Amino acid sequence: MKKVLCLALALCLALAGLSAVAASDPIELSFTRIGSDPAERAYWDWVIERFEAENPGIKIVYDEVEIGDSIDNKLNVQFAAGDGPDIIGHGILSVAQRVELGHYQPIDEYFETWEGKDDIMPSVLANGTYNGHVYGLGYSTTPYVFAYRIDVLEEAGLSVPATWDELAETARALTEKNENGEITFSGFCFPSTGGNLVEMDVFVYGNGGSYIAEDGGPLMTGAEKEEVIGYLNDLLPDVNIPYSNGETNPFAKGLAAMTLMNNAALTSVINNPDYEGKIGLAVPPHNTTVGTFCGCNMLFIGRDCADKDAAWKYIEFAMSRESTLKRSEIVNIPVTLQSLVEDYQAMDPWNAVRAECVAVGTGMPRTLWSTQFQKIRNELVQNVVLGNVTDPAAALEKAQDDLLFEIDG
Amino acid sequence: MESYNRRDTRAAWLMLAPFLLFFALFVIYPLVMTVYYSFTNYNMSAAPGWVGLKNYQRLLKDAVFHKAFLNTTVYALVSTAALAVLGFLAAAALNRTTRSVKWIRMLMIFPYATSWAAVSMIWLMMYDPTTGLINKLLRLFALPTRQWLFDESLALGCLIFVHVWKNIGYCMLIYLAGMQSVPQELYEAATVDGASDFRKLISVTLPTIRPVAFFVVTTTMLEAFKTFTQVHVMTGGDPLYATTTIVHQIYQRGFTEFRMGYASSMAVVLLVCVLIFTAANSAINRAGNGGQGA
Repeated sequence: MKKVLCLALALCLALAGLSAVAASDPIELSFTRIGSDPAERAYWDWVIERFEAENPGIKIVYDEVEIGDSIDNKLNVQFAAGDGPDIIGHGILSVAQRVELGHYQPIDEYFETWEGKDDIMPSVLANGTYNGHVYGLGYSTTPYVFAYRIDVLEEAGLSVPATWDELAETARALTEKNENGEITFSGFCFPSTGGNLVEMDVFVYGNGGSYIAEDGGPLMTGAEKEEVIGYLNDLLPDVNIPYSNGETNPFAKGLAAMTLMNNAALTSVINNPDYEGKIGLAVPPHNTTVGTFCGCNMLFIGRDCADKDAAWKYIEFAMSRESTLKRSEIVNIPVTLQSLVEDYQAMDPWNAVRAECVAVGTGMPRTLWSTQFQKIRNELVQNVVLGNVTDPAAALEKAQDDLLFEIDG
Repeated sequence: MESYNRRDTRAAWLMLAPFLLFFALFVIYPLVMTVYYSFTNYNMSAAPGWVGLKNYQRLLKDAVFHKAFLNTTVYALVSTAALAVLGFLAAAALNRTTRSVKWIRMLMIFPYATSWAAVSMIWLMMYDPTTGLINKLLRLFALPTRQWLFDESLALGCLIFVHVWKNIGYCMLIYLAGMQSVPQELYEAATVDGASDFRKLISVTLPTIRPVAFFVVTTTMLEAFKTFTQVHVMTGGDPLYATTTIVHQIYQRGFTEFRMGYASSMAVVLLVCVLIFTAANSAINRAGNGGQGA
């Protein structure tokens, strides 16, 4: 009897010990974000370190995936396995589709009590809202800016182009070729392949165009887009070095005078000591309308998140004023909180340009057909850069038909 | 005797059971489910809904799939022919016993031992039109450069070249093993008859290692049909689907566009093509062997 009692007591003590250990195990949240640039990685390391210090019971397991197919492939496989990340950092393109698939959880109840609720920019909030519910909060706007080599333009005695005509003239003047006629230094480089060829969108928006019809359906046709294709058809063969926008832009390698570039990716170029004082930023040259592409990455709570409260705590921390300003300081990303705009502009002389790009920027279509749109738009851009388009109107009609075919599938 | 046989049979089944279980779980089950999903609109999130032949009907109208099918066929035929011939010639050249030959064989097998991802990254850098080694060498010799992976007419050929470069060592090794099993008496008899080295190669070596050639052709063709990694890493199917393959399209449709049902129908088409090829290859080989098996 004594032996039995002793054994029972030992078992109880052991179980109690195990539960204590289990109870003291930190909550582990997986966080996967889009993009793999080093500057933003440094920022998230800063956020996670401080968040974990303030919340010792929560541990963040961080992962990042490059922009393009890779992030969607990874998320799709994880969700199919029932093991989606707890917190996801993704773009506008993901909102409609992933909400419909149930991958993102609504955060209305947290948003209503969030102290930053009235401070977040309305356009940024709209990006993360779908069917009247808030799913994501924008932490990073990703405007495409016009980057140029200050030293190259000064040496040639040229000013920064503000219109399409000026861009064409300046780019041709700065392009260098070797004895075989091959371009060795690009006056203006434009990608020919890549995961998301938004560089074309910069020109479309700069000409007053849109990809969404009044009825909310896709719109690949239109005179504005015909003009864009005609312009690029005429300019690019004279000035461009082909590259994939999934790899290093020739501008970053010192092989181009001007380009369009994601503001976040540009940070590593600006921070390169070899280019100190040589990189200038501007709002992209326009034709009829001042406009550019401006994406928005948001933080979402994933479908498989077991601890929504903990996940919201992390999102709330990342969206705080301190974290937002730190993000701007490290990555030069424009702020998404209205009260911080002046502080942001005071940080860096080029931040006024970045802020203007955000103000005039338009993102990916926030529709169920955004993935299909990206594919067909990429195909159109490649045709243009490869010189396959002799009839812009016909090419756009085909793109419209192809997109409708893809959507129908 | 009967109980001995029954005991033997039971023991055999028990020993086969682990493999059969593995085969059923990881080959048969996925195969059956793929065929089932090909008749549904499965998107990896919601339960699959039956759509009948809709996915197959869409394949007939899908220009991108047609391009992928053509690319895969060209890729498979050209790379297999090149590997079958070049592998044989390499083995013939290295079928000797000098010391340096061992080092050459080892160097040739290195690419085969390297992962496709690493090989793809290296060749991606080499093919870069501006900073790549190939164009730099061409400029050095005042030869015209090319856009390589950015040129619709050259991109697929560039990938085929990499495929051949990577696998020629493997084919050489297989052929070499076959050549070294050819009876020496046949070569001696040919020498007595006054045959040259080339004549011996064509009239003695080649017919004798026919089963090895069949094996090389079959395995390299099957490998070519599965082409994905180098496409995904080096071109992403670009430019303008000039390098996309069936497996690449399966990946795109299934994992990027949430259309696993449609992707499954492509996988079924690929399976049928591979079965047809394998059957045809076996028939040709049997005919060559006078009606006997491979």
